[in-house]
Amino acid sequence: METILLIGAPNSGKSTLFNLLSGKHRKVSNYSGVTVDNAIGELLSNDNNSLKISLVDLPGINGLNPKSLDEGVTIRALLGLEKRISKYNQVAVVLDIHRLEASLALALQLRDILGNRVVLIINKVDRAQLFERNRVQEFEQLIGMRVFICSALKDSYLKIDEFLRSNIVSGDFEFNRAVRFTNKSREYLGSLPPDLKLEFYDDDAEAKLLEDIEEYHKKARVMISGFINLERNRASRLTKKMDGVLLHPLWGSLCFFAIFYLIFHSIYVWAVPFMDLIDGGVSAISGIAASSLPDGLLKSLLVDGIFAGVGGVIVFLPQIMILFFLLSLLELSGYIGRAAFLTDRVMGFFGLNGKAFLPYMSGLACAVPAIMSARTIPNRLERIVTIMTIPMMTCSARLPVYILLIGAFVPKKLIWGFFDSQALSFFFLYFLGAFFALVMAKFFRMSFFKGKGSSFFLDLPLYQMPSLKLAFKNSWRQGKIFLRKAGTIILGFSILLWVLSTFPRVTDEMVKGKSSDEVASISLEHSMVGKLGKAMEPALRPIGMNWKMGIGLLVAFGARELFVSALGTIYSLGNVDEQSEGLRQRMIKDVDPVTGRPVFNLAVAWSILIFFVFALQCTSTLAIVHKETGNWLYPTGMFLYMGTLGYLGAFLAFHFLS
Amino acid sequence: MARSLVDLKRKMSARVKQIVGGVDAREKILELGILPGDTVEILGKSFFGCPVAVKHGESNFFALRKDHAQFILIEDDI
Repeated sequence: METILLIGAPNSGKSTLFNLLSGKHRKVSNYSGVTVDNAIGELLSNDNNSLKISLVDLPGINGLNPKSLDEGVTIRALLGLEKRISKYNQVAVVLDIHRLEASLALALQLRDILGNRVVLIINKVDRAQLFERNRVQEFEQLIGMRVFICSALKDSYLKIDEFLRSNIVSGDFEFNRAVRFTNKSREYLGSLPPDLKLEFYDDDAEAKLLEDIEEYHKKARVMISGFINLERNRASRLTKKMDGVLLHPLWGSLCFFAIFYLIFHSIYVWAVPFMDLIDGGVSAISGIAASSLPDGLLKSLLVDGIFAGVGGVIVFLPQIMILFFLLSLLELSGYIGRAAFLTDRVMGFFGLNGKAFLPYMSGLACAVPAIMSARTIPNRLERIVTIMTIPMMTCSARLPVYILLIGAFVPKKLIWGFFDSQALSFFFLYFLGAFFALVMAKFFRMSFFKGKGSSFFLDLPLYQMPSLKLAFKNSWRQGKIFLRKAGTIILGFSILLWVLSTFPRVTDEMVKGKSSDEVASISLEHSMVGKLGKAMEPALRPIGMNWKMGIGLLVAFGARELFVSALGTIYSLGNVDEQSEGLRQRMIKDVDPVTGRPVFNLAVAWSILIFFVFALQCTSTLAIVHKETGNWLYPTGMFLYMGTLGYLGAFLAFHFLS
Repeated sequence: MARSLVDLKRKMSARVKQIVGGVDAREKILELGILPGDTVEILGKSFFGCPVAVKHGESNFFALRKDHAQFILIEDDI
């Protein structure tokens, strides 16, 4: 198997090419630092060729001195130090035509080290006049490397594939000259074997290294002049115009809030018909199962365990898909870089690097990849603090809980003639999580992680028309992940929960002469879940919750969505009425047997919501934090501080509102 | 005191005179392809003038915080 490394500046389109050539689905976007680890894929064309080639996608670099952990991954791969890719036959440098000079300087350095193994793919040439295509050969001779001109978004993969194949050089090789690093690079390079051809320059000699780099840039500039034509470039002119408004402190900030509010507003409004459709479908199937099966354990497992549990969760598929569709459009357009620009001042105030905006933003999907993407932050203190606070960003697993409770207990009305009270509550919860993430970041930076931060550069990519197809693909992929979770973890837990809330069964004597309603509630309280929940009640009372909600909170530590499915199962079991009635109605109707008042009210709902904003109920997050920091102290600390905040927040919300 | 990017207002252009600062900062700026003699234009500034959004050359857009922008010194004439 031969190996090709994809190298290039951030946001030059390496992952897009990788997906195109290998048929994989790595996340691509229109901003820097999306790829933070390596991925290996076989070329699609391996099926029809005797020469088998694998392709490696790597994080972007601007030069050969790594300045953050993700860049370290790429440099280690070039040095042959990464596991599974210690040998390679070709380095394909991907260059963005709009930033050709800077990337060509990098390619020239690589050529001097690796020789004829370096080939260039000039990407994003979607308009013919950008590069003089009929002069490619002349350009190749000038720079001494093979060149392919393309647009990874528009071209078919066959020609690019053929280009890479025809330039593979087999066999081992040695570096032509030593690779030179600044002393500071060691921090990001990891352990290095002693026999490598490397040179480290300390303070005095570093100036010489800079001169070398400058020489490469000057050389590159001379080489490209006459071949590319970026004057009167449409994308660049449009970007300048749009940034006049979108980067403006006042207008830009207004647009920022309007865009994000609209996203949450549309999740709320657009999803309703789809949600009702799924809800109706699940209820109908569950109704058929209920009426056609004989009474007994099997029927209860199916109707109360599986349909009520899993069905209660999958109704949120439309919201999740709409959220990711809209976020993808925003990312692909290039706006995210501008959002990072506008919020940088705020991030700086709270002791974070401006680069923390992107990991925070991806925390809206899931904390796990977001924590990995914190690798782009060069400074260790800032990186750890970013990791420690990311899980407070509202991830998609919280969404079902928010929508269920807001939909049931926040009265729907219009505020100021435009804002929908429910959508606004929803927006508020997202805001609250983000705001407290920043507050905690500030606290950490002032206490445990004091120290100077690093400065930052932010890439402002050219705006582009976002591809609806790509946005839909992203949204579908997230939808699939969600459905898979519903079919595995949530299904498993629902069955387990059904077992625990059905057994041990009540004896006939215990329910003698009781109505069927009472039988249902007695059996539930007699079960293992009932006993566990009752034992938790003293801790739950101060935050206004009863034992059923406590069980929900407890199982939510497995996955947050389980709160919804647990309540689905518990309420279905405690309810003899087999009418196809949604969980929402059952919760509204639930009455405290002692006081006769509804169990749920606005104060209780907000208490639960606030708990969910803060508490860290996600084992995968704890695992990835341990992996990325190499220490159990961080995940433990994170779990404790977030749990405390959740409980205190819930306590305050309950007492303030009741 | 030499003028730097920080001293430019929105929509103003200037020619880069020299890049100063520590090796790390200079290397970062250099890697973006910013060389003495190049033209840079301020696209916008965020609150209280930081960060600064810059257009360099025909289609290179980026932003940097004040502490780096001050390392890019500019000619006086334009």
